Amino acid sequence: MRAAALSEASLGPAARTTDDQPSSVLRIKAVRKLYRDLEAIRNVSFDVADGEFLSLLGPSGCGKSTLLMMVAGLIDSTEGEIAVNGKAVAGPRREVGVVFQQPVLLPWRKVLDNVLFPIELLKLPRSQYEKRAMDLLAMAKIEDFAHHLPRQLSGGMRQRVSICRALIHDPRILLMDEPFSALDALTRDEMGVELLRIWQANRKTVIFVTHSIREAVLLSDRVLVMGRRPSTIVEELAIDLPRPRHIAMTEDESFNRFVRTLRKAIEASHAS
Amino acid sequence: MPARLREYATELAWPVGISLAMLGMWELAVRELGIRSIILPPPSEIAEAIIARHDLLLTHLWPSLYLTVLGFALSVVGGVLVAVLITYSTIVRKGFYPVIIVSQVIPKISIAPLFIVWFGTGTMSGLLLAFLVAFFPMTINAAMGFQAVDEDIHRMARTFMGTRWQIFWKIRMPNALPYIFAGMKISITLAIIGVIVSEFVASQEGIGYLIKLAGGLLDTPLMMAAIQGHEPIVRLLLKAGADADVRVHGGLTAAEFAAKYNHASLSRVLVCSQRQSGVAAIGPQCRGIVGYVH
Repeated sequence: MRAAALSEASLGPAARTTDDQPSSVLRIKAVRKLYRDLEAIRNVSFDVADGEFLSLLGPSGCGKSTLLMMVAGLIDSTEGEIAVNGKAVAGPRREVGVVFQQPVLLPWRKVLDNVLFPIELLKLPRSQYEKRAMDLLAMAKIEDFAHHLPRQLSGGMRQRVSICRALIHDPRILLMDEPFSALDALTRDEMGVELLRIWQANRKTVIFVTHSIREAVLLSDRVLVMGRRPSTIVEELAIDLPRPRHIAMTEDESFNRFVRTLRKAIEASHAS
Repeated sequence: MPARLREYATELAWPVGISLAMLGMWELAVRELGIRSIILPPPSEIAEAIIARHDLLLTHLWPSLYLTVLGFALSVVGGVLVAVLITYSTIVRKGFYPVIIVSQVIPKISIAPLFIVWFGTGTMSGLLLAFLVAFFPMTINAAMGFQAVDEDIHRMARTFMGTRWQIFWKIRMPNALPYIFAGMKISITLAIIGVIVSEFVASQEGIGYLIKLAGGLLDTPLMMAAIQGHEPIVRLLLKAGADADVRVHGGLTAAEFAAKYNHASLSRVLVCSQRQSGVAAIGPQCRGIVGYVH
């Protein structure tokens, strides 16, 4: 019930409007990234539809995090175009929320104050967002810890706080940079399903970076496979498994067919 | 909250208990081993002296305390400001920061005499020396605190469109607070040392002045001669202008020392040489005493 109320609230101010490209929230066109003479990313292009859950899958060091940070506006691209809602990205934007590999919570702030931190930075009225913060914490099942300090929480709980923080200002796009890679395998599966539940309620556009094939298949509508440096997109695969998804699905043959296809694509990119 | 209060009481009980036990052992050791109080006075005698001379001590405590607190406060403000410059200015960080650290090799106390030459013997020298010695640990600690922000936290704040100003006040400052407090802990003791040393070098007031004065008095040949009961030397010193009125710690005069160490006639000579003991003392019993200088 709470989740339903929240999704309604989140549709409030930033309600979806139809613009020139009604379905494309993010457009990446011929993006290239050089670090001095090292080519990290070569000619990457793709569109992300509104409300889509897209995964960027690839081995470590393939530049998928770099790509994500370029979308977040933290790194400039050398060539090409990145546009959010039709506007070129020139720096961090309000429409984007980021979840990092580590929870990066401020250790001296209580959980609730950590979740409200973006509100402070954006100079929005805190009182109006306190209820939303509590609702988000409730949805992530950590509302009992709202007044605890981060160090009193487990790793999984801290990452939940970090997800709530990324959603507090109701961004249209949620960027997740291997958010569960620091967690143990059991917590990781559980967090994936939790994330899907939150996403289902909010219907954000999610771009999810991971090096776990299983995770990518379990969560995504579409998976883009990135090869080794200089990396491009070597495979694109739509995952048309039914939703809502749950961990039991990982046993299904259809699930494993997607996993095999993606593994082959990755292996092929290694060989070349 | 009685539970919290009890916790606080136990917290306090340990250091207080240990301190009292150590003072007790000190007192006992001095008494049992028969150590002369001029070598090591027992705590009870020190307490007595503090009570007896409280007006003198307070008079000299005030200027020292005032300079220490002021010098410390200036060093905290100055240190934090310079640390901000180190954090945000490349020129200061790359150019001045190494110089500041290397300059630590010079013991700043050693330039105290120079300060006296430049700024005189007044409060200015004491204040500057206190500031100077307390300033560096403050700066280095605060600079470390401002810069020890996790790169990920910095990145996170930037994705939420945090400005430099916001990142300073909401991230760098709270992050640096433990470092700043650690710096303050070092600086306050250094500020006291700075003040005391400047008073040692040249001053007319303050605890440092008092310590030096007392130290000087302790060495007064008159006192030593009185303790030893060496009458010819005492007479010689009195003739040469030694002051029989001077008191050492605990308020003893040379006459009282002589009496304490059973040199009665010598004590009489010394009493008769005192000016402050008044006309009453210079009675008939002083007539004919060679040491009588009045």
